[in-house]
Amino acid sequence: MSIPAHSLEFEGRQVPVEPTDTIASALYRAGVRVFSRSFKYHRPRGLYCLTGDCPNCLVTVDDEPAVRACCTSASDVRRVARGNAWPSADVDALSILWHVRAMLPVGFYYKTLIRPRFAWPLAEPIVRRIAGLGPVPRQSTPAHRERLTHHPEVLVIGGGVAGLAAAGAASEHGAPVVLVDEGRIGERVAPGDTRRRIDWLRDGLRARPHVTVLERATAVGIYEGRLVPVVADDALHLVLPQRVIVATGAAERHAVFPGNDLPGVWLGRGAARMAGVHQLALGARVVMVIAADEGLEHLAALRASSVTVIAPAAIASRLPSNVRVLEDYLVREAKGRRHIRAVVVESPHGTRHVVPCDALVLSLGVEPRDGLLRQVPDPAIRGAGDVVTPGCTLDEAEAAGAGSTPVSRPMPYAFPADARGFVCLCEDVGADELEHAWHEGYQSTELLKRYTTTTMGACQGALCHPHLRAFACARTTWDPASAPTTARPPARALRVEDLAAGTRRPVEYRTSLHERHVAHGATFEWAGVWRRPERYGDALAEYWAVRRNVSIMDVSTLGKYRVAGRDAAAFLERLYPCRIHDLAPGRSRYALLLNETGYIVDDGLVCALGDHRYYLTFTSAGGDRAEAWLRDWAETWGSTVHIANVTAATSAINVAGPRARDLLERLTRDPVDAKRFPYGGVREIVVAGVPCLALRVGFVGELSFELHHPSRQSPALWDALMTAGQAYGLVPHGLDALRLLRLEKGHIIVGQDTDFDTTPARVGLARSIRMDKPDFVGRLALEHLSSLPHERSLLAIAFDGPRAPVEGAQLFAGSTHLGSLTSSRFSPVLGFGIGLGWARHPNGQPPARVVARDSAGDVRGAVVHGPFYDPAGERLRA
Amino acid sequence: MPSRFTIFRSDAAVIACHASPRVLDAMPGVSGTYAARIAADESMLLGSGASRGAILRSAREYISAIEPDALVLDQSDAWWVTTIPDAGRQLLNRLSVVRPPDERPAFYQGIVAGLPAKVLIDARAAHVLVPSPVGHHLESRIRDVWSADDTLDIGLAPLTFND
Repeated sequence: MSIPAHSLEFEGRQVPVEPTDTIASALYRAGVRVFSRSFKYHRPRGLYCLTGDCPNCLVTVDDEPAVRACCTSASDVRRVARGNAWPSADVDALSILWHVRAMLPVGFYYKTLIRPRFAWPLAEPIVRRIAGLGPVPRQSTPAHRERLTHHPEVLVIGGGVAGLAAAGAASEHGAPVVLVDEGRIGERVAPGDTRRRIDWLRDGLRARPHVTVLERATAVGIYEGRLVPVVADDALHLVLPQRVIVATGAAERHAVFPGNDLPGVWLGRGAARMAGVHQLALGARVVMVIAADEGLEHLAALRASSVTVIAPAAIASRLPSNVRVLEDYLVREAKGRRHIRAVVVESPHGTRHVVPCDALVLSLGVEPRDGLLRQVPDPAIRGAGDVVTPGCTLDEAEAAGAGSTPVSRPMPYAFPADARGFVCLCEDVGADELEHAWHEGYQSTELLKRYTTTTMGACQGALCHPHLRAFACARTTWDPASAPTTARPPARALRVEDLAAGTRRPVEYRTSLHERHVAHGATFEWAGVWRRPERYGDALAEYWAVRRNVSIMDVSTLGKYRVAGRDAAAFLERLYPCRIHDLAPGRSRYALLLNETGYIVDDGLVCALGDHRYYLTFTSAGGDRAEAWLRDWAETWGSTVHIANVTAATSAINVAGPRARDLLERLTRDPVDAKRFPYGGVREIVVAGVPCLALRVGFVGELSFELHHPSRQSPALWDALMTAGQAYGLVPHGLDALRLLRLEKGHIIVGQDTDFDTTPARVGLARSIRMDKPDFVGRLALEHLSSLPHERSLLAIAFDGPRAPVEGAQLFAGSTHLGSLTSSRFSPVLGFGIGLGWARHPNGQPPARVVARDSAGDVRGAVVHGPFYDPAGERLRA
Repeated sequence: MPSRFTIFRSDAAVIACHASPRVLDAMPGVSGTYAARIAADESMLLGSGASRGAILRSAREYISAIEPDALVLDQSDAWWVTTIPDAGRQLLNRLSVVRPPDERPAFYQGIVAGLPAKVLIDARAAHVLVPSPVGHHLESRIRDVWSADDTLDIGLAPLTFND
């Protein structure tokens, strides 16, 4: 006996682990026979298929639920537990549910506990608690995995004989091939002819560097475009091949008879693997049913002192002489409580006998594991091997993999009329429940599937789908009613962590001044996709720098576009609700962007540069959206315009404050006085040697120059401004100060103070709209809306004191609820709280006073008109 | 992939030409550049950063003579260019959602390392252009998929093409 490599903890005891052990074999060797409790009835379940096709061995491994013990190596595992049982899987009190199953018919949750109405909310948490596959761990940290792409000529899914042959044939002349297999190739196959063939084919691929083999990698689906995601331990592999060969083989046929789910009932491959690979005996007295040639290999692998074989004559004649044979008998029932102890068999003459046993092995042939193959009809996707020709020989499988035409070999299967037993092990659905559902009117495979949940469990129909079809076939001659159910990805259960591979880190857009902000000690926040400085330290000092001296802000995130062409003016005239044609070169205008329903989607500036050229700005969040908007309308109208997104190539720094002009005059020889560069003007000037397109803007309510310049020169310009600005006490300001400054001017932030259905009139910007224009985007809608009563609007509120309610505080007039605050701050320069908020007009007019209510109490305020600060705009027009 | 490998952050000129299709169709090649046709009315000239001014002047002279309203802009600052020598072809395959074409030269657009990218492949290298605001992600993501056992260096070099 080999020395165990290590041990794992299993429900309070240490279980030794051999180097080649799976969790299943290690636990089985330690005497574990009940591996789980069934989903609904809590029946004991033991090892069954050992090929990953059944739910019986789902256990919790290192806090991760629903791990297949038969397919998972035990070498890296610390702790295993069984779930879905109370108090334990060995003695589960909830197994009483099997004895009261008459109260839990199929679809019982549609019928039971519905009346009285309070019953279901009380029952639901209990039902959820006692069903399921185990709790999801809440504390564990998801592992980081990458997302990798492959572009092979051929993708082969399945590392059996057909798949390996396919990979060999496809790669023979150097074409890149990717081969994926759920496990380690060959590890689930018992020693014998099949295993030898697999090993030989695998060795042939080792010498081909252009063949990439991904083991322990599961192809979860085939999506349109021939995208095949493959989930592996190390990464999510996205494979985009030219051709796909699906060689996923076949699952062993699952038999339906009473007691077919008892521990001790095995499928042939599972039994052979346990005995042949892990050298573990299934029992002393084994009854084996062999209905396919492969069963002879399984028999050879078994280690039992006594084997009784039930087989048809054609197979019985090839059995070894030391086995007891029951020729042409049928299995009618497996008897036992927590483990099989006998099998009831029926002779060809109809007499029944009880055969004592401690293991029942079923080698009944195979059914194609064709879920992946049926997902996307595509001539570049073909199957090979058992998946299209179930039960093919090794030579046929190898030839099919290499590209030969598969031999059609139908496997007729009829669902016995009097069948009893579990059809769907995953969802605990018996044959009688299918019968019940059929009589209730669910008379097709799709309806039966949805109503009974057959095929919707962990195996995704690998074992039960053939029975579902056969059941329907036996009861209807209408083909659509017995058609295969629609195959959809994922074919295997996925973790959300798998889908998130490679996306753990969000894409962070940075301006060319990012390192300067870091050096200045900025704290950053997200502004859409951008990382922007929220503050550099003292946000109040930054605010006062703007109000009293001068400050600078990185506004490079603004969307920026150049538009040129003979139709540029007409195009923009039609796009924007404001006038464009009278915008003289060197002038800018604030402009709203409306959609066709008249609602605000963005705002910014339109700057006329002359010679049919314009420069447009948009908000940081709206900049990228604007490109599609501009191009769509240009194409719709057939406008001859050229549109260039210069957002990244052009940076911008806003110089704002009463001393802004003084600062600039130290760095430029170009005129920046009020007469030659008035408010709203646009000028090309050179500042500190950097060519700039300067805009006189007023978002923060002070004298401001927004300097747009090439991004590579932004750090130099920033440094020059910072250095020269020291004489004026310059500090940069971030978003925190900006939001307060603009609020004092009553300026909206699109997306914060506006909603998806905000019209200009509702936010007091009707003056930005020229309804006398013949046409612009949204005009028709605004015309209609103007005829409707004005039911709500954005109000400017001056609070009766320094406290500013939190944003989101609810607004009332008396006891009447009006709306809520969208922006709210204490104004240092004014000395009281101010806010913007949406309010209904209960009496057809906006209220004169409101009460804002948050968790700290009520704050009263007056509705004001016009900006809170510098209403006449003298400071920004200086 | 080799055990020690160098990729380059390239100093590149990227000149965007927005003009009518017929003008772009007839535009002669500018020495030392590759012209990548982004759309019917947009072409991108790629060349060495040192030649930025010359490429811009040359393109403007030609286009503005025929179509004065066209836009010819220096968009070099809008792009972060990383050059992967051909020996690292598998690296590009791992990172690119779109299958890199086999012909040379080749140009395609798609997601590379999770970022929107334009890729120009010449005889000896693949030049990956991503928007400059996200360029800082590209090299870190390349390192993430590089084998931990091997060494990846990142050098600086002017953009050069190999026919």
